[in-house]
Amino acid sequence: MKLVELKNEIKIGDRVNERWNVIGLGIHSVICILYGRNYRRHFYYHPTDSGKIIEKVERDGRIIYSRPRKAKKIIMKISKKKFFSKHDPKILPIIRKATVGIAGVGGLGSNVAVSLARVGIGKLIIADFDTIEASNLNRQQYFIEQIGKPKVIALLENLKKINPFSEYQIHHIKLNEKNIPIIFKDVDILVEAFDKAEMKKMLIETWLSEFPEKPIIAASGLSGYGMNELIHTKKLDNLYICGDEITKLKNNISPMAPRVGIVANMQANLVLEMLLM
Amino acid sequence: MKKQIIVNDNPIEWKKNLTIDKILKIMNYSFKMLVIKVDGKLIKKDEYGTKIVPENSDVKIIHLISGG
Repeated sequence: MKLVELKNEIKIGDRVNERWNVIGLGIHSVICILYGRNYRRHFYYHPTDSGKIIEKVERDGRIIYSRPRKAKKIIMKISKKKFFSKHDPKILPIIRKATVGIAGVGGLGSNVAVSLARVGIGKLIIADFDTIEASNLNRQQYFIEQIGKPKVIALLENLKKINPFSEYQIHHIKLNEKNIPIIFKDVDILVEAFDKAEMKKMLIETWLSEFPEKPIIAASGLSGYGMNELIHTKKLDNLYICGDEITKLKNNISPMAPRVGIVANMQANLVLEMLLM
Repeated sequence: MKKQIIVNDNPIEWKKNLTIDKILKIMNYSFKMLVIKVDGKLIKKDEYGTKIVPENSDVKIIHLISGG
């Protein structure tokens, strides 16, 4: 299998000319790069398109030009067969066909994504607007050298190092009522992995209104430490809540890796259970 | 037998013109970030004061807490 390393061609922070700076990179046909006045430039990468990156430039929403770019190819050193050799062959086909959305990739979302990538979920659609700060490393699946990068870009790098055989679609964007139904319309299950309660509420209500037939797995109450016995899963039709539903954030204190990791992996575990039901 | 509704698995007495706001008061729920379903149907915040909850309804109230 051949993969294209998009980041070898263009890097975040690159200055293309006096107007355009690269602010984000994507792979598998998403992410917009470069903003400048009314211009918007996109690069698309299609795994089936012989490793070509298609560059597209829009002005005021109109495509000005579109051209293929050369991309450096790297050969994967491990075989797909070996990667999946210990996966359960009875459930693997279902997992490979699944598409799962993850809204927010902080403490919850980055852990959910890593677990689901290891499991081999066919496609993950991931959205987050934030960039990595040093204080995130206490619980989020990033590394020191990734500080300052958009979380979705860093997570894509990490997921590709873990499992290069799944498809990852990333969106560097702040989610709202309007873009949620567009970005996540093709997912089988959505995982709510926001930090702020008001964002959780907005996402859950948008999802239940737009896609009442599709499950959403949310998290509530994961701060502090210990109290394993209080963490549970609650089901309300297609809405699932993981967490203790009690513990609040203390002032300016982040949740900690163990408890966030437990709840994130409960969410990921539930994703599998529902896919395989 | 008294008329009732179920709120988060607890039976409470049903009265005429019972709204979500009144239920929150009865239950002593002072949290702001809530997701509420009545018989599986999502009730949005602007309906909390107006939506009349019928007898025998199953009301689920989830409290969302920041952290992630």
